[in-house]
Amino acid sequence: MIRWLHRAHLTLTTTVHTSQQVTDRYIPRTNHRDVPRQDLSRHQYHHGVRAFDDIRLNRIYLSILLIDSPIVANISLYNNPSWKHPTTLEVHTGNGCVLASISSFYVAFDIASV
Amino acid sequence: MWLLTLLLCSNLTANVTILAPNEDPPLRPNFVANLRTFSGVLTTNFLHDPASPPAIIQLRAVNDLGPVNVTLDSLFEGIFQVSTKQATASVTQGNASVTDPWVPGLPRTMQTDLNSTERSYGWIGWGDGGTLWNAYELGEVLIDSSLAAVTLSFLG
Repeated sequence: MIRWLHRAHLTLTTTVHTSQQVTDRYIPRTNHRDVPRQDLSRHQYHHGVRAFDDIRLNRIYLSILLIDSPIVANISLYNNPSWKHPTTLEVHTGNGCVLASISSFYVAFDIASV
Repeated sequence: MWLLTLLLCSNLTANVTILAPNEDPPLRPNFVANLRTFSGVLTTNFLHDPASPPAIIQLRAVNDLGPVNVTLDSLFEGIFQVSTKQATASVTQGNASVTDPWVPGLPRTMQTDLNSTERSYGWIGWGDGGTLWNAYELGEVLIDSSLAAVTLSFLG
């Protein structure tokens, strides 16, 4: 049973390099008071999680950015129709642009060799 | 290169439940999601909460040298495109049947405008899909990878 809290409620489970299981609960702030202890606050990184909640623009960004690490994330997102903007989620892992570029080169080479 | 590929494998699994209590068809996306990994398995599903009417989702799932499996439920409406290189791109529709919550009686249909081995795109939703859409009011799912299969599954 999912309990919807405030604007969004993210329960995140990430598996990091060493297979260490890390569980965080993120509840973005809804106003300037009663900020939950679990609030990651603006621009703060925690286990690769970046939470950004811009009150003025009424936007919520949830970013999970890791490098070369498997991610398992169970996420519940909420978006109120009265808001001006969508709720945005980013989940990235992998090995960055350098190896991606190498892979693109490899694909080109592979096609050329057919 | 293959040694690197074997060593660096970053599976990404994201199970996402969404809730947007729209009372009318939304005029903007409710959710924008970008998922990316490299040389791993990218698996994600976006499912509406039972209390949620259809929400507009704009989803982009990108991989390289790894498969992508995306599942959307029978409340998704919008355009889709799946593409890969030197592998298979496929789109499937399940038999879960849901009538249009906004205009009851419209049948749910899937139109495939292009269906090739490596690329497929089209539209899924209620009605005939021939209406002129405002792109901002339209759901969208884009999936891309290379040298591995990509699969988009609609539950209905």
